[in-house]
This record gives sequence, structure tokens and C-alpha cells, in this order.
Amino acid sequence: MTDSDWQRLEGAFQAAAEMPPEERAAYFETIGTEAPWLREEVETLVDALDRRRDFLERPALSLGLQLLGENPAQAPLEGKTIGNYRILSLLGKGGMGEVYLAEDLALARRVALKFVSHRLVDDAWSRRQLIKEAQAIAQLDHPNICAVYGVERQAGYDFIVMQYVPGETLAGLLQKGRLPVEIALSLGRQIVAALAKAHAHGIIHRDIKPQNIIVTAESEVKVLDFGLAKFVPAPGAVEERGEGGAVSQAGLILGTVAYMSPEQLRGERLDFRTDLFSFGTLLHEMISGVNPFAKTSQAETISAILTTDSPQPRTPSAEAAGLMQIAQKCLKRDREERYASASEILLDFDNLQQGRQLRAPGAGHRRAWWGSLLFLLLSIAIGGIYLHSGRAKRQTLAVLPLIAESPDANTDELGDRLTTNLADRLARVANIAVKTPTAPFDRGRLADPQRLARELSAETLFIGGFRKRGESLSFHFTLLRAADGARIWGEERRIAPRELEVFPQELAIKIALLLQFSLNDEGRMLLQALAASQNKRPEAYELYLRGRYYWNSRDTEKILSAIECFEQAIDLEPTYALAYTGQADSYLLMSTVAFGRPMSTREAMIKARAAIKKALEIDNQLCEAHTSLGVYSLRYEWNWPEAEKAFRQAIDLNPEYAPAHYWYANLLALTGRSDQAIAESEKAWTLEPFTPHSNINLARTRYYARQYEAAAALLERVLGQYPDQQSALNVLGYVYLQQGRMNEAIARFEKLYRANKLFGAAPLGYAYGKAGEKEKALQTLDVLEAQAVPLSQEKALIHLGLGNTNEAVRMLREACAERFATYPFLFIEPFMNELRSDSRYGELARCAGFER
Amino acid sequence: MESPADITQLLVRWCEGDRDALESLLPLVEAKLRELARYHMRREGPGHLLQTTALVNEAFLRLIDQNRVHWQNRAHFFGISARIMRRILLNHARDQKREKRGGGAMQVSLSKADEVATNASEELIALDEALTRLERIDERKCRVVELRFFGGLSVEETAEVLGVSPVTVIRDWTMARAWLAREVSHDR
Repeated sequence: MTDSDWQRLEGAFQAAAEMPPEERAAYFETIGTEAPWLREEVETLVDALDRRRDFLERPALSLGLQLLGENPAQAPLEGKTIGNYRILSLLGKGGMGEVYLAEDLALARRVALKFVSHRLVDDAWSRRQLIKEAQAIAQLDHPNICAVYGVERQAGYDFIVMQYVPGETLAGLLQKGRLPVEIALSLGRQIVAALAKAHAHGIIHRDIKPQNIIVTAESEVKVLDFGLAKFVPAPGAVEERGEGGAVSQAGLILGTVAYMSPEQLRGERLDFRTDLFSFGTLLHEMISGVNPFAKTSQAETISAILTTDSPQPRTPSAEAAGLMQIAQKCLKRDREERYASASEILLDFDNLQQGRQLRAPGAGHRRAWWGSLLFLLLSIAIGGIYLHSGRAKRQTLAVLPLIAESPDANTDELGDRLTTNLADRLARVANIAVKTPTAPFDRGRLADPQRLARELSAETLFIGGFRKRGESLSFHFTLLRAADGARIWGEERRIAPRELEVFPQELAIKIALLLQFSLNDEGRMLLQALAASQNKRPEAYELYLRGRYYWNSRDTEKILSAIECFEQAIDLEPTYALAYTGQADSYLLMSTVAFGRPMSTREAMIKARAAIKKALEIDNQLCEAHTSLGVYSLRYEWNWPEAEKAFRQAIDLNPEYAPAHYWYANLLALTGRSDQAIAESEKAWTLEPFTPHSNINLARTRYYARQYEAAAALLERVLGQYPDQQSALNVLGYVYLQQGRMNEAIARFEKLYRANKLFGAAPLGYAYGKAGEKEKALQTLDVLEAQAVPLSQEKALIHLGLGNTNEAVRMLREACAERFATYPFLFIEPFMNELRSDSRYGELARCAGFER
Repeated sequence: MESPADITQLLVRWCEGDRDALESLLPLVEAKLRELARYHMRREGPGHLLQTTALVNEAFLRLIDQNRVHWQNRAHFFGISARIMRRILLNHARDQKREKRGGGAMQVSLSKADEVATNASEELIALDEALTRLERIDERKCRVVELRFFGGLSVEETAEVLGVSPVTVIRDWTMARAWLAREVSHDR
């Protein structure tokens, strides 16, 4: 068909399509007399459309995306060798993927490989989470827990390497009917022992069911898959998790729904008591032979779990009655009414075997000698957080008198009043022992806080001070771990006169939450009141506080925990603007080397930007959010005017927010305004004179201004207080380098390297290079080369130290292409002077957005 | 792995009329989309995917050096995503057909999407062939179908992308649908 014919056809077709159908016949006649082919064409086209009115009307985009999301079919793995493992046979299929028996060729032993479906861990983030989880599980050394050896990625497969346990699953055993009482007791005891161990490590199983329990020929129990259930997609869990399922006597196929706790089905936050419920179901089934909730349909099963308060006991024999009582207590719908811990169940197993009265029926308020342990486990229940090992007794917190730092007759008295008030509050809100030194207190003794702690036999020390600033008080405190003097938390803030009454309460709650003490009734009420005053649910407020606590620790693993806390807080309070900024701040930190770069700069920054945007949508007057926006623009967009605008706005909104000042100082230094930068850093410092970050920042600004002595003095002071402060070690090393104190610089960098390889390798390698220690420098380079994450800027530094300018430039180009967060700062670094004469310097600087 | 700079370069070349650039670009974008789609399906379930083109958006954001490509002309952006969808669906349809012909290992249907795709796979293949013919006769109509059907754009969005009026899009769309419907039914 020629172009003109096509156009003619189109004209005729459009005319026909747009006219009422009854007029078409006449129209076809008209064109038919002129050009029969045209009539034929138009008529068939109109007819085709008439017959298929909805043709193509539903876009295929969504279908395409859905197909994209699915996995390409996987070829069977049997017989293959992956890495060090020869795959022998398929053991089973689970929610996460397939499990194979394999031979570990290196160690000549049999292992089970659990292949993780790509759908579950195809991004760096989830993979890291999985590795983290597996590491936690690998810590669990217990005869009843199937050991996890590691997580590996080989040939495009992700898999967990586990102990291979030959035996039958409990599901298999139960198919033959109920178990004899003594067997049920023995298996039950072993399962609970495994749970107790895991719970003490803060790991919740989440998916206790007969398929996850292997019983060996010697009747030894191994519980599989601790903590892995959370990697199985949650929303579709109920439909998708059937993996063969248990077969009940009636021959019904059940998903794993039948073993879930009510809170799990409701999608609530889980604590370890969910495992106790699932265990109750299991125990019930072991004794009676039937799952107490199993119904013909999943919907009915779910409804039974959600509405039954302890299912009817079915006791086949008198001996089984005791076990059934224990199951009944596990199966309380309200978790508060269940056993408070796995250890408590073990006690009842003992009681049962020795013919003593069980705790199970109606037991709830009695506390025995193990009461303190119970309290601790309860505190995990409330906080859902890790129990530190060795914390087996009631915690003692020593509250040392607040020091009045401005000489004023009234302030001493005020200090004593605040101290007493705070100690009193702490003792009332949480289950801890609070000690204060007897008056009169010799302030000189504060110089050795650890000794004080020993004298008071306290695990944790609270020390602080305040000074008058106009009408209000500027207050700071630090929590120290007595054992090693490590700083757990520090904070500074200004208190207005009207806040003086409320402040100790608020602080007491905060300290209790930070130190993971369990709150008592008064504490919980107070927490509720505090949260309500911020329009937040107490759980969300608590999560936010905990998130900030983790964030403040500036530690890789803890940053991940911080993000989790903020995420959960947002789940509970979708308009929690501060939680979004917390999230953003965590992502902003995460792209840096000091935090191990668990994700790429781009990925972290996209996430940070999304969180900032959300926070500002909710509250565009939030100083914290504008500060985060400034940091984002400064470190990723490299858009200095935008960053400046954001920082200025943040400072306008709250001139007391120190981070806004010290970040702004960074920008000022970067754009060549050193005097202003120092002034801004000093402002931050006066707001938070005791916080390491504001000190380090001031030192860094002075370093950029080439004021090395002042910088060194500041950093040495910080390190005197916090000898392991990594950023301080880093900056001080560079300061020493500029001062020509090579050995001292290397000593600082070595210490940094020992604490944090990734962070320390580059400065140390650079210094080695400068000192002529070529071999050592190359070793640090090897350390970086072995990392999976891109570290171009770090490598560039070492090459620079070694004088490999070409290689350094190549790496710097890469760092710039990746928009490595600290790249622009290189151009105000004193040590970059040596590159300044290189013809490519201009290009590198322009890449960072500098004119020259 | 290609760097954002490489991908940006390809994109710029494609915008300047280099067709080979698109061929190099497609697998890169597809891989990223695949990763994102899985990620989001895991996080939110398939339902969320159906509602949004944001995913495609996100894929590009992650792939390119945004300083160098300004999406003033959104045609490039949506054009690529529609093209990718067309290709993905077609590949899937071909796989389905092959599997059916192979007989023996009939797979148990995994999801609704699969069922839909199974029923539609023959037609998709025919549609793709017809669309290729249409492209030779009237390229713009082919673009309209790609953007509307494979790219999920509305009439207004399509008009904006192609720089024509919505009325033109509607007319193209109607004619293309009629023509394709006829071709597809002939083929079968």
C-alpha cells in the first residue's frame, strides 16, 4: 500500500468510525463505487474493531512487570559442584527455597545447603540482612539447634550452609499419630531448651512447626531455621507458605498457618512469646495427635487461632494431663497470660517429672528465685531487643551528682535537687537499683568514675553537669559502662525553666529505655504520657528513641538496627516526621567508608532523599529534616547553594540544633570560607561542648584552615575521654602528618585500622607510603581490593601516598563518577597540594563542581 | 557492569538517533527492572506493581547519571520502558508456546499472571508481528500502541510524549487497534 493510499484509507476509516453505526452502510456504498478496495479495507477494519471493542484496552505494562518479578525456572542442581560443595540430592523445599544434601569438598563432611530464592535476597540490603541473621544464628551453639556454618554466594547462588542432620521430621513422626507421653516430654524439653538458648541471644524463631524439627534415630531433637522465617515474604505468607503442610488425621493438608500465633496472624510486632505459642500447638499435637486449631479451610483455621482462648484439652491419658496443662498455658491467646519465658516451661517440665505442683494453671504472679531472670526476659518482651550476655541480675545504676559548671550559689543546690529528683524517678519507673553516693560528695572523685562504680557496685554510671545560660539551663549527661568506661550514650540539651519539673521524668524514661531496663506500671504510664504529649504511640516513641540510640553509636551493625527501629516506628506512626529524618540520617551515614558501605552511595542516597522528602511533606518546619536535606545536597548532589539554603533554613527554625551548625561549617569550609566555617563550628561546639562530634568537627574545620596545633589539641582531648573514637583518630592522624609527626600519625591510623579495617586502611596505607614503607602500604591496598564494595577514593589515597599518580587519578575519576560522599572535600585537603600541579587536577576538581 | 556514565552515553546516543544504542541499552535496563520488580514484589506483593509506572522510573533513576540527561523529552524515557515491556512479554509468550509444544513438562500454573499470559501468548506473538508490519507502514501508530498498551500511558501522556494532540492520539489509537485486530485475527 502506498503512502497516499494509506492516508486515504485512514481518512475513510476515521470518518466511518466516528459516524453512528446505522449510517455506515450508506457510507460504504459511496466509497465502494469509487474504490472497491477502499470499501473492503474500511469495512473489514470497522468490523474487526466492532468485534473486539476492548482490544488492547487493558495495558500490558503491569503484566510485564509482574513477569519480570518472577524467577526464571531453575535447573535442577543435583550432581553440580558449586564452590566447595558437590550437590548430592534434594532434601526438601521450603519457604525460602530448596534444601540440598551436599558434600563439603574442603572439609570432607556432609552439609545441608539451603538455597535462598533470588526473590528473597536479590539486593545488597536483604543479602546483608540475611548474612547478619545467619551470623547471629551461627553464634547459637546448642545441641538442639541445627548449626549454621555460614552464608555463601557462589556462581550466582545464595545459600546457607547448615549442619546436615539425618533423621525424620516431627511432621513425619506425627503422621503416625500421637506420641507416647515420655517421648513427647523428652522432645518437648529439647525443643524448649533450643528456644531458651535462642531467646537469650535475642533470636526469635518465628516459624516453629513440625517440619522444622528433626528427630534423629537417637531421639535427639534439632530445631532448624532459626530466625529465617522473616525473610519469607510476609504479605502473602498465609497463602504461599504451604510447603507440603502437616497432614492431620482427617487427611487435611494444612499450611503452616496452623502453628502461627494470634499476634503473628494479626501482623503485630513479635516477641519471643510467639514461639511459645507455636510450641504449645506442637506440644498439644504431640500428646493428642491433632493440631488444636486445624480446620478444613485456612480461613477457618485462622479464625480458630484468633478466637480460641486455650483450645479444649484432649487428653488421652492421665499421664498426659500434665503436659496438656503446659500446652494450655502456652496457648493463651493473650501473650501476657502465657509463660513468660522458655525457661519457665523447662521448670514446669521439671516439676512435672518430679511430681510437683505445676506453675501452669493460673500461675501468673508468683515469682521464685529465678524472678530476676524472668524480669530480664520480660524486658526483652517489652523491648524486643537483645539481652546482653552476663546480665543475669538486677542492674544497678549509679547516679552521680550533677555538677554545676557555672559558679553560682544557687546552682549547686539546683544540681542536688535535680540529681535526687532524677534518681528517685529512675527508681520508680524501672526495675533497677539506683544508687547515689552518700553526701557530702567529694567532686574530685569524679575523676575516676570506674572506681566509683566499683565502690557502689554499679554496672552503669550516670554522670552529668549543667550550667546556667540566661533563664534556662544547659544540661549534659553521659552514661558509662562501669566495666570498661565505655560511653553508652551522651546527650546535651537546653532546658527552659518551665521544663524543670517534667525534665527528670522524661530523662528517667529515656535512660530506662536506652539501658533496656523493663519499665514498671508507673514507667509505662509515664511513657504513655510522654508519647501522648508528642502525639505519638508509646511503642513508636520508644522505637524512635532506640533508633536514635543506635544511630548515635555510629557503628555499622547498629546503623542497620537503627533503620529497622525507624522503619517500625513509621509502620506504627506513618506521619512520624522525626522517624523519617532518623531514617534519612542513617542512610546518609551509611554510604561512608566508616560504616562499611553496606549499600552503594546511589542506593543509600536515593533512600535518604525519599525519607527526607517524606519528612518535609509531613512537617516542612522541621529543623532536623532541613538539616538532613542540606547534608544530602552537600554530600550527594554536590549542590552547594541548595545545601546552604537548607542549612540556613534549619538554623532559622532552630538555632540550638548543633548538627545544623557543624554541617553548615563543613559546607563553608568546602566553599573556601574558613573563617565563617570556624565560627559556625564554634557555635555547634558551644551548644554541645561535650559531644565528641562537635569537638571533632571543630578540629576538622581548623585542620582545613591549616590551624594544626589547635586541631590537635581538641582531638587529643576527645581521645583522652574516648580513646577509641574512630573519627578523632582519623583526623588526628592527618593533623600529625601535616605537622611532620609521621610516627605518631601512623600510630593513630594503626589503632583506627585495628578498630575498623575499612575505615583505617586508606589513611594507614597513605601514611605508610609517605613513610617509605611500600610493602605495608601495598598490604593495606590488598585489604581494600578484597572488599566487595567500591572503594576507589580509598585506593586513590594509598596510590597517592605511594606516588602512583596515574593510578590515583584513575581511581579518583571513579570515585567522582560514583559521587562518593567525601570526594569534594579532597580539594580542600592539605595533602592534595602535591597533586595540584598535575595537569589533571583541574578536571578532577571540576568533576566535584569546583570552577578551578 | 556498565557504569552510569556508559548507560547515559548510550541513552544520549539513542536520543540522537542511533538505533544500535537502544539495542545495547535494553538488556541493561531490563536487568535493573527485573531486580527492582522482584524487590518490590517481595516487599509489597504483586498488587502494588499493578498500580504504578514508578518502578520504571526508579530503574532509570538508578541507572543513569542524572546530571547529564534531563528528561525534558519524556519520550525517550517512556519509549524505552514500553519497548522493554514489549520485549519481555513477547519473550515470555514465546517460552509459553514452546513449553506447550514440548508437551511433557506442563508446568503447574504459578500465578494468575501466568494463566493470563498462557491464554494470551499466541495472540501476543501475532500482535508483535503485526506491530512490526504496522511500524513499516505508519511508525507513529506503532509508537502510540507501544506507549499505550505496553507502556501503560494515558491518551494525554502519550500525546505529550509524542508531541501531538490528544485527538491525534485517539485517532491513531483507534485505527491502529482496528488494523491490528484484523491482522491478528487473519493470522490465527
